[in-house]
Amino acid sequence: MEVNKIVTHVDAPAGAGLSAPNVNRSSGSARPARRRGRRWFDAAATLWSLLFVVPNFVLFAIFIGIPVIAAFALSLFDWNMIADPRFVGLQNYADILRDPRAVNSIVKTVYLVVLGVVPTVLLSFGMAVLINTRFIGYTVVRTLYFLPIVISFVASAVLWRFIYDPRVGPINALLGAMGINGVNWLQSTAWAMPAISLVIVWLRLPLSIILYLAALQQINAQLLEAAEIDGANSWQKLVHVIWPNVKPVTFLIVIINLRGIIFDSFDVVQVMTGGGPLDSTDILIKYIYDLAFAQLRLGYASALSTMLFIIVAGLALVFTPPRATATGGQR
Amino acid sequence: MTENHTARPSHAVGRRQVLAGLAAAPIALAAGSRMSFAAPTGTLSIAVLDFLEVSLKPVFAAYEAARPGVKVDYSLLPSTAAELRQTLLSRRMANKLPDITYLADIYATQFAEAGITADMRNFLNSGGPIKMDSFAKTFLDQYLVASGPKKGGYYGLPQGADTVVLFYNKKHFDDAKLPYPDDSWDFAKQVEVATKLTQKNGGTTTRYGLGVSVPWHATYVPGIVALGDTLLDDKGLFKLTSDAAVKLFTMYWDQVKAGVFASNTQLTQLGQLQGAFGSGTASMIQSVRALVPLIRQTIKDDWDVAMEPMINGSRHTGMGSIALATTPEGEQNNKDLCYDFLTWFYAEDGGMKVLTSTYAVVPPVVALYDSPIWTKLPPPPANVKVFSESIQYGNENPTTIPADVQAVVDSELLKAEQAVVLNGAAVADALNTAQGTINDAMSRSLANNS
Repeated sequence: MEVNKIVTHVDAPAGAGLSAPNVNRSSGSARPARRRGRRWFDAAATLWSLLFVVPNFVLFAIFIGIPVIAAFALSLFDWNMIADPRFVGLQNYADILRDPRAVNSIVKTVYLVVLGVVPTVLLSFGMAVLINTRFIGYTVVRTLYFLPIVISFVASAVLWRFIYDPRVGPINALLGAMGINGVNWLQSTAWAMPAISLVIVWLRLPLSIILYLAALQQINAQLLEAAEIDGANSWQKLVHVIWPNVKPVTFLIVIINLRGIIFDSFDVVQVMTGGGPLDSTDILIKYIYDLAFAQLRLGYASALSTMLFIIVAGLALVFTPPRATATGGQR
Repeated sequence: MTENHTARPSHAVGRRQVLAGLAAAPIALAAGSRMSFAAPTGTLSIAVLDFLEVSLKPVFAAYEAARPGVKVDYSLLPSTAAELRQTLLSRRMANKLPDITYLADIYATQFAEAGITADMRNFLNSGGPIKMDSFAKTFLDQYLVASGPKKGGYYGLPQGADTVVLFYNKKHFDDAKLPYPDDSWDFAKQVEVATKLTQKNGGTTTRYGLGVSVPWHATYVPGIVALGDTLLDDKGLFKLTSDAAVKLFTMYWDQVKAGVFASNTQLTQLGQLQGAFGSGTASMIQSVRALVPLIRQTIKDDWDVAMEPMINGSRHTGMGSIALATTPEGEQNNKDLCYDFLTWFYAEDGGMKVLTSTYAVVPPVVALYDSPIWTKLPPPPANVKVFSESIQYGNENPTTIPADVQAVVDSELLKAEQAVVLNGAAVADALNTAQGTINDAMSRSLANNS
């Protein structure tokens, strides 16, 4: 009943709100009524806002906010899920710097991010520009680039493990046909991480291409025409018109991939190398999993998770798209 | 029988179920039960490891057929070590434990201390046909808690008696005109034959003579014992830098480096032991009965099994098992039905008959070592007596190693193998590095427990 009342009140002033200025201009005595109407409108708008925001806020609190707070609280304890938790203060954080595997996993994570984010951004931009030009057969390419997004990470990892197989995999077969002796990609401390990053780039390209395509289609066609009239060639248009206009989206793509590569690469690493060989692909999220669920060091794992959360949150702030820059060439 | 992913134990026994149970009693007796008392009725909740679902579904169906008043409500547990433990600990904290749960031997102490499993002496001393001495002692002792508040209790009953044996591809031996492995084999002979069976293309091995997981406790524990030492010192810490340990790992890893043995570093890409043997990429493997169903499905050539070769003139073999245990909730709320199921499960004409027909299990009950329920199954493997005879040579992984430390041991020994095989590190150095990390974890665990 209460909801019906709210809806009724919202509908009336919202409709009236559009015509209210005209009515009020013609009648000074209508001011109190206008104030009442505005109050109703404000109250109704607030209620509507709450109706939309609260469910999301509740879900965010349950699945993000509370776990983050709980993880921080847990990071102050030593707990193995069996004995009673023991309060250790900030000891778990101090232990991170003394733990060579933690330091190694941070380095490996940074390495994977560099190997993953840069090619993803450049390749997706290039492919989006290519698809946007509508060359012959672009519809086929448009379908193909979307393929990785519908394959699960685990299935992709299994598929790529076969592709990298030194005995029966197509990569080494191809290299062999050219007289090149291929390496054992996933069992080489030098090649395992680049091999994994290639899979991750392949998996992350579709979403980035979609975002770039959307941004490209928002660019004002007159800008490109003007550039052409001024004698700009394709490369100059790309560098001086297209790239600046998709810069805000680039920031968004960087942060999405940054977060995705840091947190979502677990499946691929776990299936393809298990963090090996010799910890060469032992990224932080894999180490946290091992600590929490294989070694039952939940407090220490939570300390690392909290640290990771702070780092990613900081990077998200750094890479926040500049609000002043508009797409479409307009300010 | 129903599969229940939420695993809610149901203990209520309705009047209708009681009547149904009474009516079904004669049928149950006719179905071959050894139970001397009236069969209980109700719902029995069991949590099973996911990879056992296929082989256990017929067991539960047979139990329901034998006990028409009983319904088995089973749920699945993840088979990876970390997830299994996490799932059961979470269910314990949520008071959602089943009546009976499956577990692996390395978790016996931890699950007992966490209150997930109950002391099985209650069942073994309850006056039924299954008693303490019904089981092979070495397998039952895997579930004996050696220290702490639960010391002296048995927190699991083995589902099977699995020791490591040598699987060999008869066609590969025939093609190479080599005699099949026999009881006289020692490690040197195994290396000699494996070298002859190995095939290479340039520098790459295309067929390995032997597939063996060196960083697996069932490989190195019996090997170290055969060389006259033990894995742990008097304080319970690892001594991987002992002469025996260094010698044993060197024996295996020298062959891995030579491309004659495939260990974990290679086996990951070959689909593990069963994949390597099934596809003919390994002529021999050291593994357990539990792999037989998978191997039978994949391999095209004829094959058989033999005893593990001797090391240093004595025969020792690795062992391990999956187990069942009642939970404290099961003991409290559904004890009669739990005990009835366990009694039926270990009977020759009960669960064992159904389970062994899958080829995956050697009965852990001593009286069934020669039973036709598994020895008369159509070959391969033909030489089935190997599985029961090798039980006497079984060396268990020390039960004092906590499961969370075992995870570190597995990981560090794999790294040691990779350091030796991929980076050419000295075996002693690699083991020394592994020992440092493992003993740190061991010390931390011992300090926590104290």
